[in-house]
Amino acid sequence: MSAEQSSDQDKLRLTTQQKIGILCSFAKDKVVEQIQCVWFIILYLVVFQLLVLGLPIVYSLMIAVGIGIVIIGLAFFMEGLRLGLMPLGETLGSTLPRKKIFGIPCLPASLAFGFVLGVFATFAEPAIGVLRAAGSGVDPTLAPLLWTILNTGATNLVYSVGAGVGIAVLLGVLRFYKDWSLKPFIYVGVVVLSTFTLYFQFSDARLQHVLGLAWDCGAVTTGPVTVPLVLALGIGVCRIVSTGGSKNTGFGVVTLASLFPIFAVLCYATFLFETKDYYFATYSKADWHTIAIEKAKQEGDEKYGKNYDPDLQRFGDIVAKRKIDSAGGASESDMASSLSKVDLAEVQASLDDTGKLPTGYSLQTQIAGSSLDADPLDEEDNNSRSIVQPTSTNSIIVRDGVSTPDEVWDPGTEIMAALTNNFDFFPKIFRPEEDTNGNGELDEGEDIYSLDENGTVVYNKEGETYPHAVLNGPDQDRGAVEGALWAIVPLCSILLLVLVVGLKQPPKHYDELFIGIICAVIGMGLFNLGIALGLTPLGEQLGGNVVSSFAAIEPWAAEGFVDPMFSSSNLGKALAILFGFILGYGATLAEPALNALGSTVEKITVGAFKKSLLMQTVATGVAIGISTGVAKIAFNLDLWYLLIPPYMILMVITYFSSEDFVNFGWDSAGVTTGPITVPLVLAMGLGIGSKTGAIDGFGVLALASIGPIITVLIVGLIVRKKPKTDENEIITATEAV
Amino acid sequence: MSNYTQSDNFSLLSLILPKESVVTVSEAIGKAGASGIFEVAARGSVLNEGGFLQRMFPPPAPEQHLLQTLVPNDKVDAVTDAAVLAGNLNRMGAGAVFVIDCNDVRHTEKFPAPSPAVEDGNGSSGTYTADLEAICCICEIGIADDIAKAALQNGAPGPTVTFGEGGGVRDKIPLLRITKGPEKEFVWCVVDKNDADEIFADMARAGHISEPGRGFMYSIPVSSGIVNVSSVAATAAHGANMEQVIAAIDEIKGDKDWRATTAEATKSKAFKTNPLKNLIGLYCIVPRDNYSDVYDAILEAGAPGVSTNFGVMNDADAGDAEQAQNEEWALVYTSLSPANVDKVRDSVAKKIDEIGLDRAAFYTLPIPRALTYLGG
Repeated sequence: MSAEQSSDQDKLRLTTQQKIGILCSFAKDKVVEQIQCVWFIILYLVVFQLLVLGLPIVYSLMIAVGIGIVIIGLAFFMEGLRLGLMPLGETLGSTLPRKKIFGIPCLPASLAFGFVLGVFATFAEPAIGVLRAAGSGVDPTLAPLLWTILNTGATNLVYSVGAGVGIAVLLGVLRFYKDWSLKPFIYVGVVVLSTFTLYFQFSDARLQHVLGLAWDCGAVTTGPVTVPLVLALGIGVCRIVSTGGSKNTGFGVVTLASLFPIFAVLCYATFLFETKDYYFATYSKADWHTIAIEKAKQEGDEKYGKNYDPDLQRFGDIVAKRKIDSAGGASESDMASSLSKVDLAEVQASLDDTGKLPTGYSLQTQIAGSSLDADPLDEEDNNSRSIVQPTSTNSIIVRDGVSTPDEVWDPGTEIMAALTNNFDFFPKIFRPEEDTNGNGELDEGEDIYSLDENGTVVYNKEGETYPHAVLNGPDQDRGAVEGALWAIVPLCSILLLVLVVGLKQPPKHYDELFIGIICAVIGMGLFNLGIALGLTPLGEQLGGNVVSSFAAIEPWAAEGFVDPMFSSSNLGKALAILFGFILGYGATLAEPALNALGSTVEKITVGAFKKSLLMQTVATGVAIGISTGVAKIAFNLDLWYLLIPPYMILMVITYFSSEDFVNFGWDSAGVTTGPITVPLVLAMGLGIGSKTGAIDGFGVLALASIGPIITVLIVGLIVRKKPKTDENEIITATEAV
Repeated sequence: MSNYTQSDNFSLLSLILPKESVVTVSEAIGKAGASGIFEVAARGSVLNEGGFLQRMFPPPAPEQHLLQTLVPNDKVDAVTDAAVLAGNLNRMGAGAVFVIDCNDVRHTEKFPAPSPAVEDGNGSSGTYTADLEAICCICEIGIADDIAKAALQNGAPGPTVTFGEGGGVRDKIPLLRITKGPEKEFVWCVVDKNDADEIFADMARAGHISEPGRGFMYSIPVSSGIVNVSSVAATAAHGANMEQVIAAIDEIKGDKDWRATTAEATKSKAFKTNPLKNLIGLYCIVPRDNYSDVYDAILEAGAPGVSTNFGVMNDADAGDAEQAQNEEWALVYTSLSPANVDKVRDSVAKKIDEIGLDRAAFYTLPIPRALTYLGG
């Protein structure tokens, strides 16, 4: 600004070079910002696998490229949030209480809008799909009700969760209008859920299996698109309706959106259970199975899931049979010590030629049988010391070491399919098993939807046959771009529609808005692709390999065998728990939704609460939660006593905390487990669970949600202790001068 | 334009209060005759010792509100009294109140300002008169903490920081303007006139204000006030907050001279670039929905830069709301040379007429000293 005013009315003209300069430095800043979030977790994962576990990273180039794509995708996505989504949500939120939509009074219109937003956001989020993908590993024989919910009842699962989130957002908006505190909602919610959980835990084993899934659904629903939108909406509403010293600032909706889905899933499970509409575990030999049949017979039925669709029952039977058949194969130790035909020929040839084993093979001694001989040193005295020897031994030839694939890129990945999913935009939620020999047609035995009376496999319901049906059935999974479009475009369209047509308050800069939405879509697409290429394989490897700290395993995609790191299995499990701790810390710092929450908290409190305070506190809490979850799976503990006592303690701490920290803390729990943490944690859970005999890997995410609430509330209690101003001293003012 | 009431017998009364006392104090000054109280959310300052734990978990700053209202000169004392009483502003750490004489105030009929004094009266009668200066620094997000720290270290009572938006050159770039957001931080502090030069210089140095694109700072003379804001010393060593410590030392020493900076009195703290002198600050208060029109009008009229603070006014006409609601207003500010003030104000008033807005106010304040990048 100069002393003479410059009255430059024209738009500033910039040369192309200047424009590129501005764009480049801007882009560099954003990318560097994201690298700062992500570097810790990536470095940690790489270092852990290479140095601690001593295993090479398979497909390293693909993973590196995938991580690079994640960083760029995150940069675009956060920019899109800043430019497009959050201003849209905030404008909407601040206009809804003031203007009427088509003459409907403001309060009912806001509530209805909140409900619609909640429902749509659930359908948009891919998180439920992630849980279902994990659920495909569930064995129907071991957990019939859980399997039913995840596989054949999946559509209804999504609907019930959607309804739960919708009601939660509605209540959240109502809370702002009526200026209610969040605490009563928390007390009621936690008490109801705990009672329900205890009932499930102790009433019936079939219900017990569903608990992990139910609590994880709550942790997983609010994802990177829902959270900023719901936050922005809440903040906008509170700007207008929070008058006269009200404590509400716009947070608290995410909390409700995390508690209600749990309740919805538990209700859905109860509904299926009571109406007896679930799979009957034909091959089960468990105690609870026999007891349940007894109970059913007392009521006059011959089995307990009698209202289940017979076609689906057959489907379940076939899946169960497949799992049993594949489980009866050779054990890993057998495989590790066996030689293939090629190897055998090689060894034979070398022995014939040189009389020695070829390189890469060695002679080892194996104890045959299980008895030991003890020869006392002093033959007359049986109590003297003795030499103990195995009764008989075998000498065997085994391959040394572990051979991992040489490639740096997984030959099985198809990037275009991962990116676009062949532009198949309307996936069916449940679909039958598919073309296993890959010839594009359903051969006999391939589709297992139903069996007719001759025992022939037919594709459709009984009475219809399609022997030459060409398989082009849609996929459960979405491609990266498709997922991004589904997640963002419908929500934004509804918001814009309500804003422009209903409230007649068009946004000021349309160009910024559309650039923001496009950036968000591109960002999320790249982000999903990068996760599929980079983080998921890395997580699966690490998750599977971390088990080598306490058990002997065959490393991921490798042939051969490694011994456990520690001879004591407890020490190894402790290492796995430590791994989980740092994994939770690092992954949380990289989560985009938490970044958005932290920035929003900093903005709302005008910088009084810095973003880094919230992020570090939450990351520490998640670390504690995930390490507890790993302990749960490693030692095969029950979920309920790791879940209910902490919630009880939380209620007490909530009672003593100030309202704003209660809002931030409980919201941060709903925000944490997102697209970066979930694949890593689930892979690890499944890997460890398969070795310790846990039925499913669920429950870790729910535990990971409790940790941050505890840490944030404790930090709140610590910083709220203000130094006391002395009531009796009144120091008069500057007139003393 | 014809329905603007004009007067030069107004003062701008500003209050810095912790969040808890806002409701009581605004009710009290409302009863004492003030109306049209504009409230902006703000934060106080924290003295961060910078240890590792504090860098990982930065302690929260005190939450405050900045209130501003136009008060006719004959009511200034009454309102200040009411504020001090209701907010216990005589006590350390309770907040601040300060009064600035306005050059010229114009407001429409429907704007909620109290009626001006009938005869020309003086400002405050002297109970609270003090030689103070208010320094305001507009800077990018993230820099405010450094500037506030520089002010604190020179003895300024805890600076208050608010968020707002600002622009100028930025808005003239098509599309690429998205690369830089309009958000700015405003650092306010009210200091003794004797310390003002050094504090101004140090704040400018800390924020590099004389470099291009860094921001703008200015100071306004304050005719009266009490400043007892709190700042939090985030160390384990202090059991009391900073103000209690300073007040205790004041009492032991008997006066405030010990606060003067040390030996090197000859070392000048002035800086190389010359500040701008004798500007006029033009402020415009309009409802938030219409602020972008006013913003554009000011830029079109030739002002090089505009900044905005958003806040609420609880006692304005709220229309037919079903329940008590906050009405959002915006305070749009630009600093101009005295020759251009009328021109800009007239064109903005014309724009306001065009959009049919019936609630708006303008006031101007003297700015003896300002600093920014002066072009090259």
